[in-house]
Amino acid sequence: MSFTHPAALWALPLALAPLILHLLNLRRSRRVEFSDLTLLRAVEARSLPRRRLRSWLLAAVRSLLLALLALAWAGPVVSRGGPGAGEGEAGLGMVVLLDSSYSMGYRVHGKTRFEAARAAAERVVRGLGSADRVAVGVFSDRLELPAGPLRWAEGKAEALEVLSKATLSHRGTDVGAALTAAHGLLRPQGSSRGPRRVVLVLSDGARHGFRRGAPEPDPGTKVLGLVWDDEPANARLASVLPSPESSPVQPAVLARAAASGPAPRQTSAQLTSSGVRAGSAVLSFAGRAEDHAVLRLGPAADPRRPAWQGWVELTPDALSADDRYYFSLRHAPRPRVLCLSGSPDFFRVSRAGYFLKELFGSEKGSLLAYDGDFLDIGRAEEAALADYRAVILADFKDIPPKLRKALEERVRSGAGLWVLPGAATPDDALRELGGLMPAAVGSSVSPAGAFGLVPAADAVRSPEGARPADAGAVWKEFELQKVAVRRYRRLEPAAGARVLFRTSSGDPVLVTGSLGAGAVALWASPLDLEWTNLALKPVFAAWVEQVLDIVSRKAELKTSVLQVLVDEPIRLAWKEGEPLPDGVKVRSPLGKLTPLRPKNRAVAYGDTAVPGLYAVVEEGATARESVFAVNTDRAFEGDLSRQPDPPWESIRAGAVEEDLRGALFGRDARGQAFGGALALLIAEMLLAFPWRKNQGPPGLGRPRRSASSVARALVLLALALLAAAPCSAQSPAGPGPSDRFVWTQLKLGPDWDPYADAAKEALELFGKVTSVLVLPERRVLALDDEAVFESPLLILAGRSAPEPLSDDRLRTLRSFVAGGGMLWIEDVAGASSSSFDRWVRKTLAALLPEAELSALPPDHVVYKTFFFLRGPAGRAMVRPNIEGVVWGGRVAVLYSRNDLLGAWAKDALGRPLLNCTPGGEAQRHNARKLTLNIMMYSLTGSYKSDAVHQPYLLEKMRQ
Amino acid sequence: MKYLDPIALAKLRNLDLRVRKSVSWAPSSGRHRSATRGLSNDFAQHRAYAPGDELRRLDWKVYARKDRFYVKEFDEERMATATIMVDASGSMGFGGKWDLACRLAMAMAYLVVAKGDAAGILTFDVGPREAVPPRAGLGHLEALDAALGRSAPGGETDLGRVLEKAAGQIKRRSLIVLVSDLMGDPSAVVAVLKSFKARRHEVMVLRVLDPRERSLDFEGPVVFESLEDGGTLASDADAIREPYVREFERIMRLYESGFHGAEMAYASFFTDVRWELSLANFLSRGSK
Repeated sequence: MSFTHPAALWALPLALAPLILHLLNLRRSRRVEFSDLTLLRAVEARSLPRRRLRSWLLAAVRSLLLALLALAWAGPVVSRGGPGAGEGEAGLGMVVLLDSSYSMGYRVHGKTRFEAARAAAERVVRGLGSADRVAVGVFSDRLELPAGPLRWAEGKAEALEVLSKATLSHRGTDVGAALTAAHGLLRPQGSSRGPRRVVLVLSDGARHGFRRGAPEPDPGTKVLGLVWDDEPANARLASVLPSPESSPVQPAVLARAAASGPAPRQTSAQLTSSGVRAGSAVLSFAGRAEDHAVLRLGPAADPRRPAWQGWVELTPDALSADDRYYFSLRHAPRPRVLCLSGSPDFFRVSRAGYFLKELFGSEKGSLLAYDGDFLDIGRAEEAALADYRAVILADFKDIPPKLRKALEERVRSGAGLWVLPGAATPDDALRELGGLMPAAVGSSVSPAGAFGLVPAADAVRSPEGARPADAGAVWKEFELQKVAVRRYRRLEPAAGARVLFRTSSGDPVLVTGSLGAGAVALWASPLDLEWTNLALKPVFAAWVEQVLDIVSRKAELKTSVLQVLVDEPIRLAWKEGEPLPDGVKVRSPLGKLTPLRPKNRAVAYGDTAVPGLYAVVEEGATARESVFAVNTDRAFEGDLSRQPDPPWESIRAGAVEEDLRGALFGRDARGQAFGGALALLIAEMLLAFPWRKNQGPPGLGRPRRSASSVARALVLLALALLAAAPCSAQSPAGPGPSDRFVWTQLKLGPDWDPYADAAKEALELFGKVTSVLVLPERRVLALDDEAVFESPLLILAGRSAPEPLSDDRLRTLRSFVAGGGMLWIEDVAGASSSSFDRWVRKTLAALLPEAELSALPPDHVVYKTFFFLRGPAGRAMVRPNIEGVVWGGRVAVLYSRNDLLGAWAKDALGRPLLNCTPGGEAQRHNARKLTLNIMMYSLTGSYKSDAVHQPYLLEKMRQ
Repeated sequence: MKYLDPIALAKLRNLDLRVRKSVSWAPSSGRHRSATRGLSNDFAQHRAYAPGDELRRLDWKVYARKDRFYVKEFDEERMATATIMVDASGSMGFGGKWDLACRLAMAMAYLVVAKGDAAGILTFDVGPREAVPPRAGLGHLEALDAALGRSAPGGETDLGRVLEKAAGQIKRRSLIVLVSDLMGDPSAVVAVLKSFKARRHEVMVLRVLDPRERSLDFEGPVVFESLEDGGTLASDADAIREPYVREFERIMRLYESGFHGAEMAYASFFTDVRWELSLANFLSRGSK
């Protein structure tokens, strides 16, 4: 046993005082004369033994009581287990490891775990003695601070400086690596004796931090780690990727979310694209840990380079770092098709050109996923073939060699060519294309049984990953047997060519083949009605699109996702032949511009410590901008469930110093000592209590013992309080009854309390007309007070502008709103413009930048949560509506400018203090109703519009 | 007079001491009727003449009417004697007990003498100390007061034995008034007084007490010094108060029941209560 204040042990001899006093009392007897001692002697002889025993017992109990009190004040500490290595020889060698991973941003009562842990670390460091050594390491999945390897601090000041520099990172957690570094620093050199070695890990102790294991400590090294008493709940966005159905026309992202702990049963996901809110979805975690939703994006700003970037955000919860996921995706541009025809009659009704033009260039735009351009072969040079994904060569009579060469080059570089010979196309022209064609073209035939078109099994360009069986299913929807190919040219497929369609007689009519990186298709018949009725059939559009898909290899036009994790470099490369930009700059989410110089046709940018959207801007001829999304690693960090068997001895986050002292030096036995003293005092009171009533004549007995009894009771009370002190420090300070509605008013600005009695009046009526239990007294709080988180409704009233809110206060207010609280702001100026109004709008823009303050519609649920109202009300009708910030599916901030509170104000005689204009008393009545509605809305949300209670009420009425 | 000043006499004016017939009477005439026949003005009865009767007691009017001899008899009137025994042991010197005892003794003597009876005083401790034989007449009160004035409390007492001795000195039936604190063995005291009663004495017991003797009103550790034998006792007054009071009350009840059973008048007189009130209360109780 040791003592924290051994000097108090000097008071121990005082314990002998009762014994000495007892002996002195024996000698200090008064001499008095008495008439006759016969009776006294008899009585004395009978009671003396018992009395003597009792008095000695009392003296002993009192001595023990004093001794225990002296011990208690000396702060006894009971050691657990054997002494550590080198105990008491050279102080303490302590390594403090502070977790700065983003999961430490878990916020409780407006304070993150990181802030709480850092404050605890600072207290621990300050409390170290002069003989102690300390090293501070701030870690995430690596050692963040100090730069370089972990080392001993020169003094407490240096350790505190490291702690003050620590900030929350956006990285994951690796406790094992940090512990390894700590053990390496603490490992004894030479002799095993030295200072007592301790590692204090201030982490959240979540399971994700131990994925890579934890090292065994060296013998004699004690490892202590925090344990938090709450069970954290967290919903997180795991990924946001392009939806499989996403296309340049109908872009969409697939957001996957996961929840751990007692998370809300559902949350909402808001999609923001290009700075504009684009959609939302509800995610449910009822009975499952994961959910996903598809969120549709708007049209791309530039159809030629369809790209989208933005973020998806869940309703913020206690850990907001993983509630937002940035995305940047880019679809391949809409492919273009060039149709080269050699005859002016090509576009006549019933000719192929007519039908193709209907497909590509109708009034509704292209019916296909391709845009089409039509050009005469003679003007083919005017077209930039590189812009087209496929070329349709139709109804030509001859091909200029230059065009043929250009076509071949284009096809070889990856484009598609579809040859549609016309009725007048000479065989020579077809032969000229012989090197390109997948089949040799023979003479035309007109078979008797012309009906029926038979697809090959792979006669469809299926999306990547689709099963082959799906390909044939596409054509089953059409009546291919009714397609008649009356005349066609006989085709002889070349080696490696694929026959996609045959006639019912088995002759190939559509053959494809590869050429370089591209593909060529050959249709054996013109699409003129004289040759085939295919163009009249519903299958025609699908058929054309499939042929174009096959030749243009559309499936290879993948959607690209520009996304990296925090700390991964952003890389951008240019292919051979692509023009290099004059310069490249990276714009970080914080607005910082960093110029880069391309090296080996590529640039890399590594400063991606902060999640967000990073824009890589190319300057010069190309002048393009590529946006990269940088996100934190969501694989593990968001799961905050506690590691079941952490490799350390746990100390409570709420009592770090106490538990640390207990773990290092033993448990504080002061409470037990005070408890023992309390028991002894009770024993003393029992021994000293006059159990038998004085049976003398009335009026003869005197209350001699009352004063000493009161003194004993006071000492007893003090001891009880002292003994209970360690316990009361752990018990949460109850702010009051938790089942009562509390009118919590913010003390902010010079006119925070314009009508002091309004709250009382409103609460009285609220408690009277509704079934809500109310606390009759209001609660006035400043924003720095943590009790703001105890109430669902914060009321801020004002006439003139308060001071601008500091970042901390803004953060507190945002936490309050994010935690589900509602802020009701009341401008009591009663004028169309006020400094308070300007302050409110400016503050709200900073508080909730992602949402706007807007007027609530007249049918908003706040007008019917309890009373049915047709619109706003107040003392002075300045605005015809109430404004609010709709955030997370609810009105998070409600802003009224009609001085609702003024309608409640009364003078000393109980009459209304202010007139309501212009509506008079009816308006006052409505203002009171609206006040109650707002209070009810803060408690019930939109239940009235959800109407979930209606079936119950109807059922009850039926009964 | 020291113990019977005019104020005390004024207080005693309305008090009356009544004794029963059976009290032993002096042969001289007095105010009390005797059970025997004798000379007085009060006719008692006629009795048939018997030889030897005095002829002057013959009622000639009856002889004339009845022609037989009848003797006329009258009630005899006698004077009562009262012996007031005052305890002068050391314990009576505690507080104002001795003074109270003397005042009570003189008051009783006065009440006796005022009726024409004779009163005497006997103070005692271990044995009879001061004795004044009973005599009638208010002038005798001076002698009684002087005798009390000469006495002072001191020494031990064995109340039972002293009373036995005193009983031998009182030959005739008389009223015996005992003024004492009765500090002794209650059973012995009661037994002796019962023997007085057996000799047809009328006995009245006036117990004189200091209130501290009843409540032991002392605090803390105390060394008690006895006023009788000079012995000491060290004790804690607070600790023994409760059993002492309980025991004292038990003895009080023992005396009450003992005297009540023997038909003796008994009362306690405390020094903190005005004696004339206590005495009036005592005498009125005895007259019922």
